Amino acid sequence: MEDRYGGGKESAWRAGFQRKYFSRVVAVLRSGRIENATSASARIRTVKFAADLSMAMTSRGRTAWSRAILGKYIIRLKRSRCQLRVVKSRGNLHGIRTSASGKSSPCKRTAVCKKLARRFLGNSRHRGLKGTGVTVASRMQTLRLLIPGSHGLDTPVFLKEAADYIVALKMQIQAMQALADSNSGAHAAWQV
Amino acid sequence: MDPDFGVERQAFEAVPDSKSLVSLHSSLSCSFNTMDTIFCDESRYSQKCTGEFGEIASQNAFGGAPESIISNAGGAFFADPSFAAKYLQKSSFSPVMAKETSNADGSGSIGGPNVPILANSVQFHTPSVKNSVNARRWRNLEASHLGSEVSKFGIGSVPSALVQFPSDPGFVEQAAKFSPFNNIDRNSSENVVCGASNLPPIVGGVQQGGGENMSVFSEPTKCVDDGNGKKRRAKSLTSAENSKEPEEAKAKRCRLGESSEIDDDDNNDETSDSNSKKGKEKNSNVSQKDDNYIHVRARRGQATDSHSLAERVRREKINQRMKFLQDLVPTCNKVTGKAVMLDEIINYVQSLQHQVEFLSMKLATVNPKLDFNIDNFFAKEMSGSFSSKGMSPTYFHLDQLKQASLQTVPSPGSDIPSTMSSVDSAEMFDGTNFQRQEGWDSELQNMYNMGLLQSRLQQHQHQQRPL
Repeated sequence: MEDRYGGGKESAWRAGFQRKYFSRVVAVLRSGRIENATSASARIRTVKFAADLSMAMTSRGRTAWSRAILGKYIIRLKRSRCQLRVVKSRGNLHGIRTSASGKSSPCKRTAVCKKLARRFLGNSRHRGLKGTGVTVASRMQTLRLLIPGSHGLDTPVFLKEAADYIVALKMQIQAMQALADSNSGAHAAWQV
Repeated sequence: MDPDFGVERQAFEAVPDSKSLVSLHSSLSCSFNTMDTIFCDESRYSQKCTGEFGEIASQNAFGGAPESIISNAGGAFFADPSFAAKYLQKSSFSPVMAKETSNADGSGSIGGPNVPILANSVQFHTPSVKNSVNARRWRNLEASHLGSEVSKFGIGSVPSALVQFPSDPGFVEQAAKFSPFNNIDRNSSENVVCGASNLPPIVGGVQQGGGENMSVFSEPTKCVDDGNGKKRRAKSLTSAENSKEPEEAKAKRCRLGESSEIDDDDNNDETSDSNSKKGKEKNSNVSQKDDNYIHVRARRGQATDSHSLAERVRREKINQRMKFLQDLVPTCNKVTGKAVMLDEIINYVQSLQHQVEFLSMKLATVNPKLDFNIDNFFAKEMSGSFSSKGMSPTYFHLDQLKQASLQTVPSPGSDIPSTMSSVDSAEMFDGTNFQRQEGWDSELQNMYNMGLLQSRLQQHQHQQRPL
């Protein structure tokens, strides 16, 4: 894991960031349906889908969350194309089970909202927690809900995934900001 | 009655538990100042010592084993049977023992013949003492879990050798001198000197597997400073142990997962940080030979179960990762404690996700046509980046990640001019667009074939959830 960064760490990082940037461009282009989508929400969804997909692609499926995102969207893709392939199992993924963590957004949101409400209102009736209500375990559970693909993971692995996810999100935000700026800003600035 | 013996007897009786064996042995050594006094009185002395030691040892925390050993020995009065065990483990000792036993059964006269034998015995046993695991365990007895340690000693395997052990007060004195229970000083090199040059020759000879040094017991009379002798002897023990530490027993093998690099970092830090009083370090090495085995050493004063060790390793892994997360999230710096930190992390992740959503909304609304003219400039870079698979997708690396994340914060705009190519990519756009579409699909297909998604696919097939 660390050996890959042996030479120039920043260059590797920057290259990864560029890769994400470009892959997002490609993803959006590929999705193409943004012209077809009529409603704003559909468009937003498409862009978001492209963003997530590009992020996951950049991660190359090595992290659990990227696999979860990819799985979710590939199913959607395949379904939209009316093609459902049966992939032969070639051996399980080592260690990490990407369980049904790719929840549909409403379910996930309600779950997260419930958790957050419980946290801030201190309602501990459901769990019978010791103490005033929120414990480290409940916070971990909330975090698991937030990070895709982290449902069936052990704690140390999950923390690693969380770190990876945070980093990827940061890069994604930067890339999208750059895109938005480039599209809305003056074109001349980039031609220097 | 030997006044020295009386003193030492009191010392024995005053010792209620095994932890004060340090004082015990020191008193013992003080009482055996000269061999001459003891030699004069050895027969009576041996009987007395046996009896005394037997009854007192039984009062100790060692349990029933020492009783049997001491009674069987018929005079092998070692207050600590484990100590005796060390000296008797060598099989080469047995012929010597036979001789000793015969001598002991007789008059128990200690004179010339016993001296060389004892010298030999000392020689034979110092290497075993040095190199054996028991040496360190012996040291551990001083500080912790004495009873459990002794029980681990495997005393049961020893008694046969102990039976033959001579009832030799001279040997007792020597053994007492060699006891590591006194003032273990780790900082010195091995230099066992008993006031004179007698012991270093022994030690040196032993280490080199050298010849017998007959002058061992002729020297003890010159050994004025018994405390030093013991100390030095202990030092030799400890130094040997230090050299052997990474390999010795009590290293639990925990079969852990793959994250070996992190554990290396983790454990190297732990090694440098831990400064236990006795210099015990926790060394975890991912040995290349054993796949996924991590050798862990228990720290001083901590439980040695495999469970607790594995738990400790796990806990430290988790703590290390939490620290890393703390560095990653900007608001966590002043916060201590897992709960609040996790709160901050949750808030941060949520805010990042909201930001992504907002930006995607912005992108979607601002340019419904998805005019990516600007991105034409990067078409070449795109092709370059897609073809090169050298870049690592996983960004999880402790220090590098931090640095990199800090460095990407100043604008991605700075990256863009650096990657701009002078190629007129307007005409490349369509071509690349077309290529990219195919490439995208092919990449997805590749990921399928790599089997990365097959599990998720199966799940979705089973569940058929509407998305």
